[in-house]
Amino acid sequence: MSVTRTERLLNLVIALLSAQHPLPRATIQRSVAGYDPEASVAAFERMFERDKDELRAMGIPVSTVHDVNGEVQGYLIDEGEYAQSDIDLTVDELAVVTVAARVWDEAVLAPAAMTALRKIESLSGTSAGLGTPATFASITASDAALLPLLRAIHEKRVVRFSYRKPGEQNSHDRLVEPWSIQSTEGHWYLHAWDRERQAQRVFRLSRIESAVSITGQSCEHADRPRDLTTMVDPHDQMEAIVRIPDGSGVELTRLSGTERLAAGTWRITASRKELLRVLRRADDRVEIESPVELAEELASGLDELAAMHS
Amino acid sequence: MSETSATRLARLLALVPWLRVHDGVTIDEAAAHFGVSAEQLTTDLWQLIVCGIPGYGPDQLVDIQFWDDDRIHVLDPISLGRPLRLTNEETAALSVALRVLAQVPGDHDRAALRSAIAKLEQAGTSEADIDVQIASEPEVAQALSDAIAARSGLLIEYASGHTDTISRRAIAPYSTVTVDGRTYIEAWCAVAQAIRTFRLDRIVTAVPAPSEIERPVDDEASASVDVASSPVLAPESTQQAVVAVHPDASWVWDSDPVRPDGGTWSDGWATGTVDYASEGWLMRYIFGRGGSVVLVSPGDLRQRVAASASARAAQVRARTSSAG
Repeated sequence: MSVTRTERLLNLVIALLSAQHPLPRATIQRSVAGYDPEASVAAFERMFERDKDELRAMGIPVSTVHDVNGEVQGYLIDEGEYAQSDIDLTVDELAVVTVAARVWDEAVLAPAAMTALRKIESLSGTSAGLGTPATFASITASDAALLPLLRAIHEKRVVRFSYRKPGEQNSHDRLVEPWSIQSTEGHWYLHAWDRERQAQRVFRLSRIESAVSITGQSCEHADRPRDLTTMVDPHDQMEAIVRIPDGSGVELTRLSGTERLAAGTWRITASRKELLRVLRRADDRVEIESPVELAEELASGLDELAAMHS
Repeated sequence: MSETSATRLARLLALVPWLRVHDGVTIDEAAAHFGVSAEQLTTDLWQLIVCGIPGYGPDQLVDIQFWDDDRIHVLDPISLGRPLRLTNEETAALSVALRVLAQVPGDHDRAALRSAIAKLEQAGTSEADIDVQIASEPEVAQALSDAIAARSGLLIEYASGHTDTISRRAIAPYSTVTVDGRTYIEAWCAVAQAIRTFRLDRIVTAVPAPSEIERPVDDEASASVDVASSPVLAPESTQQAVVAVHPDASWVWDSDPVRPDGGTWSDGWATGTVDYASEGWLMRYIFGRGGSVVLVSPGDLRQRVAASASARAAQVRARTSSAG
């Protein structure tokens, strides 16, 4: 079944690519191998519609040509639209692209990366041999939601899926405008505008429990943040002066808003929550110079922690 | 699992232009390159040569010869001579991978990497909608890349995972392994006199070593990265702790290495287990979570969390009053 379908699709692609004029449906049914010329019009049309959708989903530009009266005249694939324009890579460039294509390892994007590489090799006229590079990089992504979400983001379309919040037993339907996908330490997250909650939300892909369905609705919410960092509330930011002896305070000095004022004295700008978290983890020799309230908050937080463990 | 007709069609369409520029390639080579068996590739070739332009006369079929010495020659690709333009998915897959490589230290050609990204963008590939975060300082990554390329040594300041302290070490890096945004460096450590794995995000500073670092002669053998046997990627977690998670902190189950065990602790608090190799690491983890995650057992560590939190609170207060 699958073999004959592939054969029919391939014949359809070749027929539409080679045609000088748009091919009417009747001609396609009669002449393209794989369609039954004896079949009823309705049966043929069902099959042809499905084939056409499948080709378009693969990125093959099947265009519908209308006559002056708005009637469908026929179908065509424009060769200029179909074919990838030249990408002329040097041998060195091709070598890094070859390494890059392997980054996806067994992930859901691995076949896409490999096909892309094969296409680029066809245009560059050469293939890079693989030595033993001193760099090994891999990204794992097994979430089935990744591919449909990626398509929805690209087409700016609203998606629906069933999501189970951590700690909850049941999943709930969500209707969101997808913005971007981010991977942090092996976890994949979707940044999106939640239409029902009227707020931006982050969804972990592994918690999406249904198939992602791409709706016919277009995304409308305009205020799309560039990335996660801009989703941090600026009002929550605070400044602290901290004394950090040499050889400690590693996490503190690596917070993004860090400035060294003098030897052993740093100004750190971060959210109150993040600052307290890192201060609790810091070496005993780290001292808060100002503000005093921060030191008091740290001390009372530590008291609570002690109480919970006694 | 059998492949879908779309997957197979995509390969058939990619196969013809690729075979055309790799004239005379063997069936085995082409199969390996496309990640399929030689049988599958042969089936693909038979499939291709029965397809063509309506009419399907001898001059209207895809013409590929592959029965002499198993070498493949495309005689007439008809309209399939050029590859289908890259899809959004394919573009995203490549450009994300290239951007990951750009951030990862190693001996790969960075100039070529930058120009390849530029050329792919020029060819109409749009900015990807995916971002993979790599924990790395650009200066440290650069120093490591230089050292790997020049096979020279580095002096690094390395942050411990167990305590908030830094150690200084002389290392000779061989290679890097990046998995899901976290990069590990395989290097000869002059202090330990052995191969050690370092986490890139814990290297605070890295500068060229003033003198050469003696390393074993058979370093070539260790330079090939073996992920499965790497101690960091397959950590030997020796002990298990039980923790309780606050009902409002259910995000912990997603972001932290805590596995639910189905138990409860008190009102709405669920319990879970954490693997740990170092007591220092576990205590710092509990301190960082600040009451959202409470250590239930082992009991002696639980007491140490209480004692050290009290002591630290008293110390912070004493300093504040003496300074004020």
